[in-house]
Amino acid sequence: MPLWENPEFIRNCRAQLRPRRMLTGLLVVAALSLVVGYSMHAGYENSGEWAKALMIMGLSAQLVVLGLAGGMACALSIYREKENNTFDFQRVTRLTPLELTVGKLFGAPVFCYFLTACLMPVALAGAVLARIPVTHFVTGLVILLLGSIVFHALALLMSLLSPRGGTGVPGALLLLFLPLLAIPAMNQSALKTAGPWAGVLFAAEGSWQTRSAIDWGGLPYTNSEWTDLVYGWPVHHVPVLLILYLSVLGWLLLALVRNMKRDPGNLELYSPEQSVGLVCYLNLLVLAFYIPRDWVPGQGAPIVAQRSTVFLLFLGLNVVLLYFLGATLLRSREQSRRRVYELRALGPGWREAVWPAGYILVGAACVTLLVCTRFAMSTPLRGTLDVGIAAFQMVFLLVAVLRDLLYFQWMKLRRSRYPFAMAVVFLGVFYACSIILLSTLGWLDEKKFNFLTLLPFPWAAIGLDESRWISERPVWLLALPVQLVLCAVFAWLHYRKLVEMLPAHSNEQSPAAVSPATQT
Amino acid sequence: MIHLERLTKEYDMPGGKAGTLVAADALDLRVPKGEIFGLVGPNGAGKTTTLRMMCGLLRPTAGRVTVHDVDVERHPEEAQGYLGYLSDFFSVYEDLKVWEYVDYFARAYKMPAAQIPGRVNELIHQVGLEGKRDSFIAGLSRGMKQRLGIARAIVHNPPVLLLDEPASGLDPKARHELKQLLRELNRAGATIFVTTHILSDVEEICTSVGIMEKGRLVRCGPLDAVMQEARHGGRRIHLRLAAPGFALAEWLSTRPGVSGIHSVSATAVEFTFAGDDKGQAELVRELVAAGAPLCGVQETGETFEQLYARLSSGETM
Repeated sequence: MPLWENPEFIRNCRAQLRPRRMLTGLLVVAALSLVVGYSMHAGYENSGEWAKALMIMGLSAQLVVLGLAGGMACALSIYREKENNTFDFQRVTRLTPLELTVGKLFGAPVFCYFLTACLMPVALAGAVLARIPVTHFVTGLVILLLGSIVFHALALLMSLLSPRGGTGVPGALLLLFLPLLAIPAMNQSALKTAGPWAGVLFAAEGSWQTRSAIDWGGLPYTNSEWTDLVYGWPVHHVPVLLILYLSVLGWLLLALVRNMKRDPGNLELYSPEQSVGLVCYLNLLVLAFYIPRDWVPGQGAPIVAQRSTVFLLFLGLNVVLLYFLGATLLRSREQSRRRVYELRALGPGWREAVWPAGYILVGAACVTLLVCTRFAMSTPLRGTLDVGIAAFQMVFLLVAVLRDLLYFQWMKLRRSRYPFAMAVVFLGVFYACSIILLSTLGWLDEKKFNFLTLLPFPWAAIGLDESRWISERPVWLLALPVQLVLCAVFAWLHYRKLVEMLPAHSNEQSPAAVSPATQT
Repeated sequence: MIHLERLTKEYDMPGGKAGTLVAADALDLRVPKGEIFGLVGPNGAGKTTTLRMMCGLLRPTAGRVTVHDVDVERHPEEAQGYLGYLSDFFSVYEDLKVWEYVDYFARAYKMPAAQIPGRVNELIHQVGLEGKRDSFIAGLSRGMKQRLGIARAIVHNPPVLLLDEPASGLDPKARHELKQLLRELNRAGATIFVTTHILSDVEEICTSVGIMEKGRLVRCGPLDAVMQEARHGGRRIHLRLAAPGFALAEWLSTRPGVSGIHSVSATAVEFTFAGDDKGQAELVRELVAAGAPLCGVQETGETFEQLYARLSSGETM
């Protein structure tokens, strides 16, 4: 269905683009543009500089109007529909989730698009007078537009996921927007400014040249503002940015379409397979722009990073990502109850009790494969890595993640208003107490650090050094079955919750059937 | 047309209390084409939950709903083409004009573009809003907004209408018009499933009925059959004497098949008689032979409201 035939888009256009409202918007923008343009003219002696500043002002205003105000409009759109009880009527129409999503994505901020169009003469006049190349101006606009659409999709998703009566969405978005405007370089020089602000910069000072070189340590680097290093290869920032935006937009749209017409009590951000895919995508993204570079202390000279440093960096990153994966897979009471009903004949077994461990293991296997492949194919890293200690740290932290997720799953099935939030608070308090206690005992120090430290605080395994691993291997290995026992305990508690959900009533047919034509 | 198969919805008890709230308890129901099915029950019986599951707004804990043999959960967009839904709250887009609102839903239900303008005008006329066609919805009265909601529900000529308390908050005239409209739609072939608290409406327009309590259908079937079955084969008879003096209630209490005797006045009595026409004639003949100055015999039917009051405990879950 083309956008101009999308009923939701048409509805938004009709409601927001009334002639009087449009005329008011146009007059306000025109008046402000004239006044600001004139006052800027007085501040510049060189007309070329003034024109360029005028274009930057026009594009910046477009970014604020489209990005910020449009994002707010998206953040409020579904939230407001829920408040007004009109969302249900949309959900029972024949519009597909994709049509409804597209209609809202472009419809909710349609007045902002109109204001952006009103600001276009200012930006265009500045660009023409400053003799900005057409390709630069158009590319800048495309980046600005696409970046804003990504932000709109994020805002729409937040609006969809926000519970009815929640009031924090617009405020949270406002805070989120400011850093998103100009996401700084991710890692030294590998990825340049990623926010839509890059569009304004490119229109003003962009260049199509790509420049890269090899540094003293034999690693690729670039000092060009418009060159990114993707897996070490120099690629112009614009295509990188556009692909980045499109892929992120794809993930956001996937979540939106999946949940747009869903029962709010059964929202699922992604399917388990999609969640694993997202974790892999994020790994690929980090791997693409990561340059394994260290700096020699005192000299400032770059060298290839230590193998162990890179290992621990990606281990830490993926522990966080596996927590995220687990959080998207945790089942609510409603979802678990439905699952129990589906399995009623068999009853919940061990597979249900260890949910979502299976997908966490699959996710861990996938990212291990990705990271290993990446570093096997690129520049050799410095130093050696003890495979035994690395394997122990990986497995031990994986089991620790599983332990916490099984604990979260059990806690999420407890009867409480905010069961998951309470579970996070309890776990946070537990870790805080553990750290304080272990510090007091001195067990977090390198010398006194022992296997008992790992039981309450498994993250300490990251600090395990090679010499102690070799000398005390059996003792360290003992920590692993203890963690597994804790996993089993939480799985058993989860299982008990599932058994409690088994329907107690007989579920025989309702009585008093008087006619086979109406009650079967 | 509408088929509920072991439809179940369970919730946690509110406020973190122990136990489960069963809003729909393995409901099995089949509503054939052309019926007007009325679902009645006390507040919290599970009527709205059942209706919301039927139109795909709520995901059932177990069981399924099919409309026109299409599974509502598996193929929602296809099923929703057959469904028109009106809820007990009639929220509308206040920033749209009346015709724009109807046009939006005509498009959202994917009606052929060429038919939309004609259908919009026809519907606006049908619900009596032709004078308000170009007015903003914000300026409409409550009753007008409700009529607009009805227009939305029927804009795509759905063969099945699901109406949740459609007459709540309407004035008597608007209620009468609504009933007229429902009858017209039914005559045109629509199957209507309606939940309501207004029992006289059920008796007036419904062809079949379900009484729901605590998530279960305690009575269900064609209205006449439900009434008949609920009477346990008995008929309510009203006797009137020309003058007092005859102990009518005492005499009746000795007769076989007579129960539920209730003296209306010194000369009138009502009772339930579990017999056929012949038995009733015999009873009257014996009464006259016993010297009663009988001047009137009338068989009185129990209203659905009386039946509901008798059957329903009126408890909420």
